Amino acid sequence: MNTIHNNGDNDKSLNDGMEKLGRAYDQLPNEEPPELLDQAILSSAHRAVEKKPHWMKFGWLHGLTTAAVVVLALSIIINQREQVPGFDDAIRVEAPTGPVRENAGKKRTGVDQVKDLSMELKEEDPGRQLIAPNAPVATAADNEALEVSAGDQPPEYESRVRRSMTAQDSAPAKTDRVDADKVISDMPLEEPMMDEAVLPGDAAEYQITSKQPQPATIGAVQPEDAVLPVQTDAEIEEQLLSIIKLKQSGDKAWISKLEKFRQTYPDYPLPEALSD
Amino acid sequence: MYAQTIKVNFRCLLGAFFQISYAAVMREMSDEKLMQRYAKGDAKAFDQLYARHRAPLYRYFVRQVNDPATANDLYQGAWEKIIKARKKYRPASPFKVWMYRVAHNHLIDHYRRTRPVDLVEPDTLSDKQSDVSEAVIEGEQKELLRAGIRALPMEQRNTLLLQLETGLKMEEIAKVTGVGRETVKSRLRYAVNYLKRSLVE
Repeated sequence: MNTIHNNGDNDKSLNDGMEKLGRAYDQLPNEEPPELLDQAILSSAHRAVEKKPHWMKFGWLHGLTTAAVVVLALSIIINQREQVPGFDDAIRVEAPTGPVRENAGKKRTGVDQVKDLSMELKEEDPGRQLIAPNAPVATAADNEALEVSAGDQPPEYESRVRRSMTAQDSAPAKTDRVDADKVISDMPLEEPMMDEAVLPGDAAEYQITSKQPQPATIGAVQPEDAVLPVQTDAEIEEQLLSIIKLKQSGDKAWISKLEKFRQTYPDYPLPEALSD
Repeated sequence: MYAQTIKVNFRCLLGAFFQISYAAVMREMSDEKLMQRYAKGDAKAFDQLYARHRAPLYRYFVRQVNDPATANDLYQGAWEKIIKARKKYRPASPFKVWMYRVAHNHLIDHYRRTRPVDLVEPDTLSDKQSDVSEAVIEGEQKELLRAGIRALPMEQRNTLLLQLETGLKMEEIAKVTGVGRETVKSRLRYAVNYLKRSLVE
């Protein structure tokens, strides 16, 4: 088992002693490591030289990055969940559903109301005419143009237009305007709309038709500086009524008054009684 | 079907052939080459190296310390150190010298942890001789020798075991233990004389 080297010395006694000792030593039982110990050492040696993937060398960094990404993603999700309900609530408050929502985006102007009324009357009696025949009828395109032009203008202009429209809408209150339905129901259907039998003393009734040319009036309001003097339709109608009354009474002054009116309102449609 | 079986068998045979031839090449390799290969990542080289040195190194520890469990720990610890230090190994020095130097240092560390290093010379070993006497009474020469070795001072025992177990030359033992050649020779002479005396008695 063992080789006792001759150490090259002249120390013979040492070499002899080592040889004898070596022989005796060889007779000792040969202890060997337990098999489990062998396996443990070998597996440890194999593990030490196993080639790890590059990313595993930075295992802690990989874990840290993963954790950071997860935390970030969770925080974003939680944030979004907190924000979304509020957003929904705001939409619910601002945008009503159902019929209200259908009418919400549509501003009912006086022109629209008269138009609707006219349509209803036409359906009931095609011969009956609520709107003056020569009056320019505002088309849908005009309404859109009006909306767009108002929308494109600066907020001050838009608010002014709105104010004038509101004033027009509220004008009937000043002139003791009665409910349109009631007026129409009280009207004699056989007689023409603008006949003097209908008109005298009842400015409110005539106002229903006279509101028709509003688009022209509103359309005239374009530049900021060129705002018309605030004169409601009711006042204009009063002027027209007075002219009609003059005409009916046989006073020739109605012609000069009408000319003056025309100068002031060249585009304003005249009732049938004056259109001759 | 048959062709596939033949193909599989051929592959197995080819694999076995390569393994056998590789193992044969490994067996013929020197310790230094094997250690270099292991340092480069060849685990099979370590297997061969381990097979060569496991028993002597284990006995070196077993006969240094009386406790088998401690010997096991020391043995495993020494191999762990060798595995860790694989890249520090330089083939300029023989592998066996390097390995036993690692083992010796590990043993010294163990002695330093457990008790002060016993540097007592054999002349002052009156109490330890009692162990040898007991072994003599038992009449078994092997036990007598084992007890005699155990009774030697640590440095002498270490030097003697390195000489008997590994067959290292005096110069190599000197390198392992970190002392001069003459010191090794002196320790060996003391140890041999002591054991001869003990065995005769």
